[in-house]
Amino acid sequence: MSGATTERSALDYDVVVVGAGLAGLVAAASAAESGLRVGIVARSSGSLGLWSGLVSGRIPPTEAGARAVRFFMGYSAAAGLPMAEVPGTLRLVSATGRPVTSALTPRTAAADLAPGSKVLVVGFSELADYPAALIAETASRLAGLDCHYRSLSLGSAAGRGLAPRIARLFDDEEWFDGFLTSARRFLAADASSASTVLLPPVTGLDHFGRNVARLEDSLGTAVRELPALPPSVPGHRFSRLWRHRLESTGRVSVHIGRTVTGSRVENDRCRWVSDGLVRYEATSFVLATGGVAGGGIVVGPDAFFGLSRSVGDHAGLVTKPVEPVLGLETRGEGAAWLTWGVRTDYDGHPYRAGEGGGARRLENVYVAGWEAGVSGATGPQAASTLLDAYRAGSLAARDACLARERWET
Amino acid sequence: MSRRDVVIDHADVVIIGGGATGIGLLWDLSLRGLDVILLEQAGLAAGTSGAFHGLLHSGMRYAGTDRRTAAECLEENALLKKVAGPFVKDTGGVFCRLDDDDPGWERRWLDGCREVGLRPKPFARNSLLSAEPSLSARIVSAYAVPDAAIDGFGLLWSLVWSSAAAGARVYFRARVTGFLTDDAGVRGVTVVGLGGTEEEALQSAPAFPAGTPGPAPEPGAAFGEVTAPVVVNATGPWARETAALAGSAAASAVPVEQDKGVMLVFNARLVSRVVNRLRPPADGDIFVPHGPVTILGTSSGLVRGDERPAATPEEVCLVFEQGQALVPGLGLAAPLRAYAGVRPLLRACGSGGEPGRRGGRGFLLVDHGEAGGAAGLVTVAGGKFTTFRAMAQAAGDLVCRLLGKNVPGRTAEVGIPRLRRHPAGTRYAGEPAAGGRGRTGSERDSSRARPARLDGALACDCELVDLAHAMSLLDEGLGLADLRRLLRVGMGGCQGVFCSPRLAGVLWQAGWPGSRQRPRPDGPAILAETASFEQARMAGMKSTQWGAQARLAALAEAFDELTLGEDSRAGPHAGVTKQ
Repeated sequence: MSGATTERSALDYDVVVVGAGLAGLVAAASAAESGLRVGIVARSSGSLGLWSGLVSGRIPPTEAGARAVRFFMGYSAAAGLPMAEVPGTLRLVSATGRPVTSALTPRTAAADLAPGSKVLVVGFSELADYPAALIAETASRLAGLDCHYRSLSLGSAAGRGLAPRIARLFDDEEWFDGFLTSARRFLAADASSASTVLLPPVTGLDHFGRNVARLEDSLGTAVRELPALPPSVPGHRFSRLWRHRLESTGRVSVHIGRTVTGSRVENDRCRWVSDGLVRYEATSFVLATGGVAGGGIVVGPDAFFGLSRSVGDHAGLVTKPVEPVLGLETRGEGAAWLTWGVRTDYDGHPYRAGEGGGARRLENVYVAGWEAGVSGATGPQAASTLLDAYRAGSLAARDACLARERWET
Repeated sequence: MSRRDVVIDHADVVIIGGGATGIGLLWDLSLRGLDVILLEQAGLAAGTSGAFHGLLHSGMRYAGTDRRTAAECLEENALLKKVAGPFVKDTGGVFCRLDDDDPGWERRWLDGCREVGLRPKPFARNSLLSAEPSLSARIVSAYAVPDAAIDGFGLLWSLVWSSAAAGARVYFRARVTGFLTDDAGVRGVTVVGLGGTEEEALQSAPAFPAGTPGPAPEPGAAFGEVTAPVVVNATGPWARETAALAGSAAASAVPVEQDKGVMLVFNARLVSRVVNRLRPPADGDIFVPHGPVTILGTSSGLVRGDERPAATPEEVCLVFEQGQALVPGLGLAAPLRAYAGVRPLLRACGSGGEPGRRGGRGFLLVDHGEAGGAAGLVTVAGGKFTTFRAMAQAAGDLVCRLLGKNVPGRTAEVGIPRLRRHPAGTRYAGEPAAGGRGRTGSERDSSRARPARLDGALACDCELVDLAHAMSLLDEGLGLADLRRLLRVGMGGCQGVFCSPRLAGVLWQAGWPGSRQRPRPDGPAILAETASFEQARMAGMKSTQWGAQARLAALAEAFDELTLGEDSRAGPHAGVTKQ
């Protein structure tokens, strides 16, 4: 047992998910599917501000993979962020114009740019971090596209906006009507000879689908959003729309800005986690703090230098190297990067360092996403996070349902 | 213009090496009214002078071991505070003895200080601990000394620009491959112009044993000749290898060895003055505050000249553990990066003097005409950043004597203003006239690009670097490594992780490697420059993967994957799994 004892109140859920990035939201959605009450407790929205919205990596051709993808696509569409219904992997270009692929792609980004495709890259002069000319040049050279570029000004309303602010401007219907007129005037000629027009992903936080469709009608050619540098509008959309959808079911509560700093474990089961003010009690828990990248695991100098096998003074849930919240065992050594993670069994149950050296499994806790560390061979991939998180959420829900049945009978 | 006549130039003096020694001499001779050329194979302060501690020594560190160096430092410290005022942060310094350090050394040290004319003022333990709350309570005695922090990059660039305004020519990416000689001795050098990034120039630096001729220039490489009656070898730790180009006799007159030092940068102002440990000079016993960061150093170990110095986790661990004795909470500060520099150390001639810290920190001035063999060649090497002006003055006096000119040096009187940009434009080998670098690359029509709006925009968010200022330096033909040293681009919290893709866009906007006035944007060169910048930053983070920096490294990887979706970075993972 450890953690603060100053909590003034307690909330009770079937499943508590710690973390609200890609893994946390997918796990919560998957847990909530069976009608359970789910609480999300998170310090922030994780690395979603960096996410291009493309799902990198490979979806394994298994029944479990297909189920996770079906679930993800269905949930995202219902949340207002439809994915493209295209089988297979799409060929795209990154924010620097290099070729990239995506296994699952938001509909507004779903292009398959074969070598030789005629593409018009459009930049906005107010969006400095989107160098259309460089992207066009690199994509021509490295992805074999036939790229041209144009740069448009968005007018004084855009100021020198960061991407989310410009996206808000696109949500303003009156402003967008004006933009459509000038886009038609300045882009139509170049667009007519291109098979795809690529824009930065700033066509709205809410109305991007409608705006892209209207641009396509207006230009008479396919219009798609290319990934851009952070702050990422696609990641922001995902975070907003999924959270909104989760909360709208009435069964999921999202507590963001809450850093878990304490917990209670009894008989190899976690009873609650706490942010110092509130206790979040649950039958089962999913840990999805993002590991080292998310700040859920802190690597101390001793661990880095190999002077100690423990990662800093703790692992798992705390963000300050004060004391172990769950006292989880970690793996990884030397250079930390993402290979540091919580050691788990096949189902994703973490191990807890026991007294006298024996490790005990935490029976009602599952680990998802980067919390478990990342394979050195493949690096971090959104596809594996998604599959992992779906599974962790389902398993946590199954345990909670069983417990409920036991309690009811 | 044929690529073969890349640099054809003539002057009174040609200096090899663009570090503090060479630039100091460039400034000294320019002030004396001489016509001077400086040749640098990579970038300005890309070697030793770019990887030092940023410390303007009071000399007290050497008071117990090397009183001559101590006295020299003390004198130059006072002088530079006067003439190089804009670059010195007069933080003051303190020497602290911990409870388990030898009190006998304290007495010996005080004697040494007195001998060079300084009486360190005792600093009451309690007032020191309240002024510097990060310091260890194990401190038993402390003394105030006139140490200071110095902005070496800003100072050296300003000297280059001041000298250029007086007519001096500086060529970067100009590697000297040999000496031109006639019956009278050395009369110039042959030069190869290097393309590519600064990092590539450094990595391809020729490594050949002293006394053997250098490698032949690559076929098709741009090469040229620079002639002058006097050639000065100011290549620091590599001075012996350079002298070897003039024969083994010249090399044997330059007993310089390479001694590696590792430094650690913390993203916090842990102390507000320079803090030294009062014990025989050892590892990890100096903290120097620089603006928002603190640099802890250093280690010492002889290396071979053909190795690119890198900080290993073992060295970082050593420095870190020692530093923890003075600042017990060091583990909580974010370790931004570690870097390694190579010092030129003098081996005591004839006596087989000891290497490392016990080797001489004084400097060496060789007239190779006198030493035998190569008349017209001068080597100046060794010393410390703090004594660079004194070295320049002594070398300048020798050069003038060789030229038969009787002009006194003026560096002790003339103040150095902080310049923000070049008066006329820096020159690169590969293109002798004004303009960009000698790179090949497709030129694309950029006429449709709208002029970028620069008002208030930033090139680097962590260090709040003004985009307009960065662009004006890029217009001069400088690269990202230069922007880092001059404006601190990429030296802040994110270490270039998030700004380097943006910088690619900035380079394009600047028409790089051309300028905004003569745009010549070159996609492959821009991506190579950006990747090289990023790799150099990542290399510095490799050995400091704990705390906030472990998280940054993980985020860097996530950023590559999630935003760029590419393996473009010789990134953390690449380094760990593929090496």
